[in-house]
Amino acid sequence: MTQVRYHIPLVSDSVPRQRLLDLLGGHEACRVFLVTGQAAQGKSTLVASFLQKQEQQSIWCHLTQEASDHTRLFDILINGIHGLFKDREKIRKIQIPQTTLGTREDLLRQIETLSMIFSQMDFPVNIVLDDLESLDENGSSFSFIQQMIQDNPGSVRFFLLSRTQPPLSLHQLKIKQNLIALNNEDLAFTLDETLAFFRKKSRGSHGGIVMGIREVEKILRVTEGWAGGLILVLESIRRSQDLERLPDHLSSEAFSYFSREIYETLPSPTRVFLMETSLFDVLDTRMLVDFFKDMDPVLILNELEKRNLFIQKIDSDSHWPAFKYNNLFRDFLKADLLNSLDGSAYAALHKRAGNLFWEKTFHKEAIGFFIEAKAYSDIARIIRIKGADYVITGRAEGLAECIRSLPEQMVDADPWLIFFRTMTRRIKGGKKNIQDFGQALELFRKAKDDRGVLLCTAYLIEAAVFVRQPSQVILKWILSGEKTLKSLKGKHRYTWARTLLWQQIGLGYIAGNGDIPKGISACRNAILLAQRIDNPDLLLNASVILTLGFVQSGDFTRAREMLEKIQDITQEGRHPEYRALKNITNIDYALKKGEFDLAGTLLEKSGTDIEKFGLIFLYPGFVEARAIYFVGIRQFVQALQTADHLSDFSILEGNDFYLGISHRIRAMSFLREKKYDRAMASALLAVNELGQSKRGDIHFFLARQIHGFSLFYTKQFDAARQELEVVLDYFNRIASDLVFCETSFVLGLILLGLEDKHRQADGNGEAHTYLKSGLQKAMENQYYYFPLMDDKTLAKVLVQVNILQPAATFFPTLVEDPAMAAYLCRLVSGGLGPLLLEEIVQTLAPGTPKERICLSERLKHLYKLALPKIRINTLGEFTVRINDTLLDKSVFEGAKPISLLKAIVMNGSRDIPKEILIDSLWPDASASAGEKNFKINLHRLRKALEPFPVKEFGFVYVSQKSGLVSLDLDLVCLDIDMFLTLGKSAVRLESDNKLAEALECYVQAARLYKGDYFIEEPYLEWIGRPREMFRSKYIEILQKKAHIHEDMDQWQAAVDSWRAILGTDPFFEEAYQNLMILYADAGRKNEALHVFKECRSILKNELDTEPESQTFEIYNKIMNL
Amino acid sequence: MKILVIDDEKPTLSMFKLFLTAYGYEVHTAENGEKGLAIFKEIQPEIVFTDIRMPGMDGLEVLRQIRASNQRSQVIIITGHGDMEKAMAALDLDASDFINKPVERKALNSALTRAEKRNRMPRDLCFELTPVQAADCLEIYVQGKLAVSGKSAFEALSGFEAKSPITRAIFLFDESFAIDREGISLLMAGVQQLKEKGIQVFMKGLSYNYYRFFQMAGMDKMAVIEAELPGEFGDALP
Repeated sequence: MTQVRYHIPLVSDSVPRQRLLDLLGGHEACRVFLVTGQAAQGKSTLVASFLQKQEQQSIWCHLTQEASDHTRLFDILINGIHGLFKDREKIRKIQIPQTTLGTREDLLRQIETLSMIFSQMDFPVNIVLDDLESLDENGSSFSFIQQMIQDNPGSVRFFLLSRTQPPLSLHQLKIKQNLIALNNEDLAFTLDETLAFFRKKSRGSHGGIVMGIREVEKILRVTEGWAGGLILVLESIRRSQDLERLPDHLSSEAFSYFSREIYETLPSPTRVFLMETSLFDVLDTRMLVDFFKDMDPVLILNELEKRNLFIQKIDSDSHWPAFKYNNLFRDFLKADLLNSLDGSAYAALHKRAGNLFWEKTFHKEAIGFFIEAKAYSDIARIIRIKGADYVITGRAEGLAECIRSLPEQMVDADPWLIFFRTMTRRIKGGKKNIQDFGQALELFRKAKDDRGVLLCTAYLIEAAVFVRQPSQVILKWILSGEKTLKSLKGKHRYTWARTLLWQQIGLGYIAGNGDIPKGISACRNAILLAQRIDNPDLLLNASVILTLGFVQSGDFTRAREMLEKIQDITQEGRHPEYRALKNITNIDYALKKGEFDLAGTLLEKSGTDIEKFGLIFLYPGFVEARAIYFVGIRQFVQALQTADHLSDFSILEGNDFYLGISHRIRAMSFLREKKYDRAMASALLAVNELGQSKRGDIHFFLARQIHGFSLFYTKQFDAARQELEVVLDYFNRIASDLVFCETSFVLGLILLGLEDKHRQADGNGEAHTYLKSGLQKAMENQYYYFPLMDDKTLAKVLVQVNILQPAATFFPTLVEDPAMAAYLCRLVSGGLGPLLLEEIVQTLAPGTPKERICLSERLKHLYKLALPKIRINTLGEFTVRINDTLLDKSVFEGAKPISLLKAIVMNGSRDIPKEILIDSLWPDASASAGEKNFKINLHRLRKALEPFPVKEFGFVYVSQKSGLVSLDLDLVCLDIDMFLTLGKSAVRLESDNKLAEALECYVQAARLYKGDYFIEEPYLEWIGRPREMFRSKYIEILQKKAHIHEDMDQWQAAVDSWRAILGTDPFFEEAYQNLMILYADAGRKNEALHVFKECRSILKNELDTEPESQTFEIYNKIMNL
Repeated sequence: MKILVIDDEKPTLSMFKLFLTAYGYEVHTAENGEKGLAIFKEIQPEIVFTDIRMPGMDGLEVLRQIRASNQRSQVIIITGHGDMEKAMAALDLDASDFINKPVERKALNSALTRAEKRNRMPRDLCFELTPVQAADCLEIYVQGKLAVSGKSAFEALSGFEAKSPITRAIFLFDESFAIDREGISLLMAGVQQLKEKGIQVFMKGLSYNYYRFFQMAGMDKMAVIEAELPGEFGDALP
């Protein structure tokens, strides 16, 4: 049983106004239906009749003034939604997201929650807001409704029913034709409808009324089509049969007069019943039967409803139906009640109602009655018991209203009332909250109320943190809280309150006092307790604060782990705190991987959430990420400006920690700009500031890392080594692999530098250990971007790590490890090639010929990785591309080198006896002339592909060994190989039913086929077979692609695929057949028949034949459609 | 309580918005003077923060236009560090207070506390200089806005007849105290006269931002100044 009803009211729409129902039906696609009109104008009747015929889910909200506050309105809506989706666990479980780190009010969070629920609705839902005029125009609910309508993903239609024009801006919806508005004039009964109304009534059980057109015209004139007026007239005529008594004009003001006339005909006990029931917003007969012991509320109300006397049945339970008076009628009854009872009797009646509702556990309604009865002690009692519920569910305004109804003196003397009053303006109350929580705390302490002390201290810490109280003030409350918790140790009482206090102590340490390790410890206590009492809200809040601690300390690994753990509790990131923290950790991750586009997008999202929800504690982390992003994309001016902004924040915050971070970012920016002296100076400032911080060591050691790197780049190797060895040790201990890699690399190079400086050879082994362990870790983590190192340094690392490989075995290189080879291949392909080549050449240059040969043997694999990749296209025009740049044919110095390359490719690319090539290119030349031509053109070909070969490595792309010619297929890629591989992959994926992936492979394969194999060589008979094979393969791929498009209902793509087949083979009849079917299925019969004609004509003209019988069958079927 | 912040730097606006919202204010922001004035007209905020240097309409013009239509709102000017001339110009235009960039928390709190107190005070308090002798100390109570019209008050002060020799003079400024360019000259001349008589001068009760401003003006070389810092639980803040 619930006091709020959401069913569509059962209305006896005796004369349905069909023109209005048609009008609504004609605007079904609209998202907002605004129905305004005077009281009793049939607004609810019309919309209820319309919705009853719609067979759609509807939530009908009967609003009262109480819903003026958006938290109450949200509550009403969410209860309605829960009722509608009671079988859907996911939606049912949704609660209001709690505020943990935000300062902005909860309206936006609630709107987000509703939008998320709406977007999960996979069927249309109607939400009716009835009696909208009851809401206070200055209340927050109209902003809420406005926003809710604005953020509606489209699954919901809103019906707004109001006597007055609601203060909502709906112009945009009107412009977009998303709104239909009906006003008082639209709703007014027409002459035909009025006639129909009276004719129908004359046939009813209360018959005996016979009316001519003139009488009806008169009634229509005086009522102006007002539905309520028609009912009043009907009732009046039923008794007097006299139309002459009608006034000239019947407005709603005449309502009371007529109502009294009707009312006074009722028996006295019924009149008293009606009068007293005007107390209730909803006439729940199950409640009324206890309130009116000697009456039958079901009988009386059913009778009124049957007569259509300003009452709606809003719940048609067969035993205990519920009703609602029309407001006009209720106002009339209320006025009568006030006239007939004196003040004390009126209060006593309300108190009796309050007691009844409290007994039945409807505390909200009970409070409403107690307020009217001025029963303060009852109100206070309920607040003490239920206050926490209001707080937890975010219904602050409801609670505030209850407390406001109490005398101020009473509130000021009661710690729980002070506490709850302060909670109603939690966070947004600013410094006043500190005073008030402090006042309540004193009273709780005097009363030795441990629960009160726990809760008050918790919220005092929160308030102090939010208004940025100085660290020592926050610490004072933290210590006080810790003392209270210690005193309760082992008592196992008030676990909820203790958990909350641990959580807020965590917040105090992390966001206020800056002692992150202690904050993390407190949050862990809170998490343990929250798990013990199975409270997901507390668990989530404590986890969010803990994650903030990790983020602030720069420990993104643990932050990410934490976020993964709490993902489920947040219901898909509904909590802005969770979302923003997740975005910040993801930004860090993206920046470390060099994925700057992604980082940019996430920064934008994160910034929006932080500003929208006032997540001030996440702001510095966000600014830091933005500055590092600017460094990453080499926008150094913006990076420095952003660092300056962080230092502004630090000054405003009165916290040197962020000043330290801003120095570190400046140092990072200068380092990447190669302004090493300035980098060093900024890094030292950062080290100085961060060294005194209690926020963990990560930022401090990151600053030292930059300092060490700056020393390295300015060749101060001894100092750099001293700095970076400590850094490496630290990051090794905390398993921060990316920093470890970079530091290892630079330390390796430092030792080589030192070796060079001091002419020592014993540093080689150690240097190699650093370089190799760095590279190994980089491979394991698949790092392709190093935030502090430039590419030149990375190239040096790769060369040196290969050179320094100990010679225990015969020239083993790192590249021979397949996993490492694959990693290096990808690493180098990111644009490192030219720098790597340069580094290799520089490394070889100073050595003796013998040393160079020895080194080149160690570097040959790396050299190959550094060379650009060549891609040869044979399907369609023959082209050669080096690193995606088309090679101009002029570089081949004639046609023969190109022909030689073509011949190599045509003969399988590998181990081709040179005689075969000579024979195919110079069939008529003598052996010696052929040999000579071959040598000359092979050299030209090699020079074209590799104009500046390194002497020690020779030509690499085209090799000749023992008379066998080969392309190095590690460096040269053929389109036909990719074409066939993609085709095979697609077939495999399709057989595994992975249609989307298979389709992607087919699309890529088809894109590679730009024409027939060696299209420029039409007279080479011997390639006819492979050419035909590739063409058939292409058609087969297109066929399969078309079928998948058909399966996936991608009509246009399927048509395009079949058309592409006909572009290659115009006689491919299956394509015509499928096109005919596709057009016919789409209802485009004429086009289907045109395809048939096209097929028939081409076969007749070109092959002098007719289409297959199957094609005719399809044609006939289409003809008969 | 409504606050409007006008600054052409978006990050600064975001930062102010976050801080002031956390303090419990209803915060509105504008990226330039024109927008700022439009919002001002619409919401009539109790307090306005405006940067002094902005492209287009600068902070002084914003202040001038606000003062032309509204005398009640407290307009706090954000100046660059050491921008004495602009600060003077702002005072001449009846700015309520001014804070330097980068903004310190103490300065922000002080400006807010002062603005709120001034909001509750009657407007147009006359300038008054009330000397009271206590033993060898002359306590000079200062209230209202010190402008050129305060000249007579200083003349009266110089004619103050001490009952016994005075060695110290303490200027005690109350919350209503404000000053403009002419007022600074008068005050400095007044202090100079006292010093010439061998009297050591002290100043108390100045808001943090006035304290900083007096330092910039060189007043700290003539008198010992004590700033009034906003308390940790200052009831002036919401």
